[in-house]
Amino acid sequence: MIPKFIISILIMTLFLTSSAIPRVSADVSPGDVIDKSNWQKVESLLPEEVLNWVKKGDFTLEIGKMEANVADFYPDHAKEATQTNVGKYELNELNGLVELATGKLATIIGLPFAQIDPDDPKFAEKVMYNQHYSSTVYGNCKLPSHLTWVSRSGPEREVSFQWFSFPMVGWPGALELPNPQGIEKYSLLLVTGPFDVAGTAILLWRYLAPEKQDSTFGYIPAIRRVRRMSPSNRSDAFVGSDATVDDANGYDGKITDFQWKLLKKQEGLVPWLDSKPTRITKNEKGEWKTTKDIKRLIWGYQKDGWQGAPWAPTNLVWVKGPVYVIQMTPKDPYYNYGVHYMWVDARTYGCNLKIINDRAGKYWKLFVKADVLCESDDKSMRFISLGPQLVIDEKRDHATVIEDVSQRNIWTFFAKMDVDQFTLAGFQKFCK
Amino acid sequence: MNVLKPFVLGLCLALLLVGLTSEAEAFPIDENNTLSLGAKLQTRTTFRLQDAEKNGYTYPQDTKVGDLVQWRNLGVIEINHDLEELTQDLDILWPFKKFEIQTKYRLVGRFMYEALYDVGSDGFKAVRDDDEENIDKFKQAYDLWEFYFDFSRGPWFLRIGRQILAWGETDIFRLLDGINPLDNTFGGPFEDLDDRRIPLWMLRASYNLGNLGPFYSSSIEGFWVPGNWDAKVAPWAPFGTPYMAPDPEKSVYGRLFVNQPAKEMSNSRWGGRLQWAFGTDMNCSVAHYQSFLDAGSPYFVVTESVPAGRPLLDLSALRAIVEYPSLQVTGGSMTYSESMTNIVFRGEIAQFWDEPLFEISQNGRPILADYIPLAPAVLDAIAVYAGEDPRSFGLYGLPLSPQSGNIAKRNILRWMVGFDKMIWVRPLNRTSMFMTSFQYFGQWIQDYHDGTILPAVIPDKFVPNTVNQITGEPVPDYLQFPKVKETEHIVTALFNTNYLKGSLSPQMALAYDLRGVWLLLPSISYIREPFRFGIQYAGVVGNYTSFGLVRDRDQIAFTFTYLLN
Repeated sequence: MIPKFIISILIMTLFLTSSAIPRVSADVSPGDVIDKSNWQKVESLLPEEVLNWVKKGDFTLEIGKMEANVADFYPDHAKEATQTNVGKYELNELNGLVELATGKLATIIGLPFAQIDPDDPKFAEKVMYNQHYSSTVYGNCKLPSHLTWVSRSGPEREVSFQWFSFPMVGWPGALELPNPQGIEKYSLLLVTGPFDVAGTAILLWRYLAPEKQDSTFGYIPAIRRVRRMSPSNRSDAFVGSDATVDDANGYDGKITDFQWKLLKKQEGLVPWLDSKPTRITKNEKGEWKTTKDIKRLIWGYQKDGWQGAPWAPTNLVWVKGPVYVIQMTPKDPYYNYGVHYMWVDARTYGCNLKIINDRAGKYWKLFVKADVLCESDDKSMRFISLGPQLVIDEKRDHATVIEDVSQRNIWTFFAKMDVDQFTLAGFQKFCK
Repeated sequence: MNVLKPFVLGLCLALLLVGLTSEAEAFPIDENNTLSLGAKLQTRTTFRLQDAEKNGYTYPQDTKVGDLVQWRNLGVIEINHDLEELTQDLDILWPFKKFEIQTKYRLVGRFMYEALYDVGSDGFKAVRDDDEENIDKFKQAYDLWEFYFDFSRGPWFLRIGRQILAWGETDIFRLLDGINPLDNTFGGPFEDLDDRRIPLWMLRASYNLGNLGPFYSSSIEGFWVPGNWDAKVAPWAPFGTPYMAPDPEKSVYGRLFVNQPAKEMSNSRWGGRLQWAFGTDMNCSVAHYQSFLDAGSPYFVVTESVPAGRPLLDLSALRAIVEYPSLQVTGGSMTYSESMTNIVFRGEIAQFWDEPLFEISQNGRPILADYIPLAPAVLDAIAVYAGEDPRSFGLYGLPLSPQSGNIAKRNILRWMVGFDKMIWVRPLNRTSMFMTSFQYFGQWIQDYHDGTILPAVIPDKFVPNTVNQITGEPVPDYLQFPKVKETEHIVTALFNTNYLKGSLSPQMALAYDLRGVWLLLPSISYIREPFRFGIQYAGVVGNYTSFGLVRDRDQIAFTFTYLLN
């Protein structure tokens, strides 16, 4: 029989010994650098799939703090309208956005659901509507971008393209235009390089009506014709890359094409390009443009001595904040993705992290997106822009990085564009 | 020097491009990316995979399996310049700023050199030696390929310059897409349609009509190619070149006199099209245009006036003329996206008014004339003396006052129905879909006459029981033509996908003429920036009709391309 005091001494010794071992507390502070030696600090703040990249040493995360109130980064018209929209709109049985009073399809400015009841069965859908409308508040856009294929040995291919967005909702200019077709947004993607695919263009008409499928038209230089395309290939690899068209901005498909479910709200880490706003300037046409002052994102393959994954973004700022974890399930049985999980910033509705499973339910891809705060010198114009995006194919250990707004990709917001460009006749202007 | 010049130019171009970039990066020239330069250098070698059929259509007739039949080198430089920014800064462009006219231009220069006649087999060197002037023109070219300006303002759009315009919904074969001529001299049906299009100097305009009742995005479009400025038609490949028009004997080929359309206003191409969207799923268009067929229309004439009842003594007065009459086409097209099956259906119909055909009774009238019979021994002697046997043309004597023929013309209705579907075949490809496309083409000759034929002589046919007693050779029969039936039908299919993140793209294209001809075009391309590698097999099996006329030209082509941007 061991005396009780000896047991007590042993317990005390064990406790003291264990206390002497350095422990990593499960929380982060601005200035922390998280890598494989201290990944435990972010254990509860990231999806397991992202955490694994840190554990393996492929990702290093710089923890930071935003130098501005991100929830305040909306143009004035959007801020005002978002408040007046409260209680005016609802989702119908098909998840279409309708006026609460009349049940008619709504065309609004700002975000439709500034306040969402936590018990609302359509909470996740409403978050996604806010996400969608937050990308319309800055009007028409011209967005030159680059897509780079990256393997373990470095960059392989690059495709450059321009994205033209013409929302018919979300900002005052849109509502001034006649819209008999009930268009929610027009968009046009024009591939500008390399030579053999340059000139490929895709025109999209998305309708407000939830039951109407997108109308998609493609111009393929090899046949020199505009051809109607099936909307089904939005989950197909975009020009063979790891990304799909629907991956843009987290999710660029039709909200009604998925079933949505809020799993939880929690603290998480949200990636930003920079902790402070980037400068935008107004030109004589009244357009707002980003500048070359924007912070340069350095990918792993661009950094000397980098030991992690070549596609890792090495100098993003990861900021702790509230996030929604949303499950999304495609309704289309032919959709190439299965169930996936989106981490949405609860303050900005940005879809920053997405875990994508295949049809069999096995983890397949990881999507990461960092947003950018944009601000004019006099602070009269503010909004949040989409920033760099990354899609990692875990099965093939390969990734595609999307360089969006950057020093070489100057983006234009509130762009002066003619809606005629998005008609069948106008589309030909972009074609050879 | 003639040989070295293109090589030197090509080398300089290559060095310039390699010096400019070592990666496949975009190559913008100005800060705002409004001016960009792109270029490619491409070389392609093609080897024959089938011996030329004896007395067949292919020259040189000793072409063997493994022989090089093409070494085509291409350099293309492309400049695209959006003048929007410049309009703000340059006073000379003030009107565009004042009237808010968006302006841009595109310039494509092309250099082509076919090395076959300089470094190929002795047979091809001999082809050049026999026709040096024509072959030297044929084997190399420096062209301002495309050069046009775009002007747009609101619903208006105007494109002026050398350009390509394609209408309709068909692939591989053309119905409403007959505006620009095709260059079939470097591969014909073995080549992509777009690689064969020849730009024309054209004025093209469209106006967006907007929504008209249930029709959305309606627009009207017109084009005009002034005939006194540009009346170019599909080029005629010189004799002996690997893809020349099918004909078994040089003597026949040499008897053709090709009359290209004159540069005059009456030879203008022109047309108009109305297109619209109906609902969210359907697009439609109707169009009418005037253009020229790619294949010239041959007919026989007698250049010497022979009084009634008198024989034609000089057989060289019997000639075949090839002309290019203009024709008009009226038609429409539609596409319909079916949401339940995710299938895109396509359809097109076109009436070709007064299309030139070859009917023996009209085009071949001189050889149907009565004749004064001659003894076989005399005919044998004439054949030896003239180098061709009149019996080959059905002439067993001296034709009595033969009359010139004319080009037969009939209305022809053509149509296509097809569909495209993107499908997942996950056991074969887990990351990318397969693009599948099927088309059925039909044609109906209205007021059809028996004796309508394709003007290409079926090889290896001989006049029965007839041997030239002097030479001991059988007499070839040049009146055995592939018949054209009142209705004809062709189906096509296309499958492609990509692997290795889009770097590897296999494709299978095929066409089947229901009269028993297969065209098979499997290919694979591989990307390793900034290079492209391609291998394509092209084969034809089956009867001598439509694309079966090139059935002894099975080949494999290797393409290597370097891209700037």
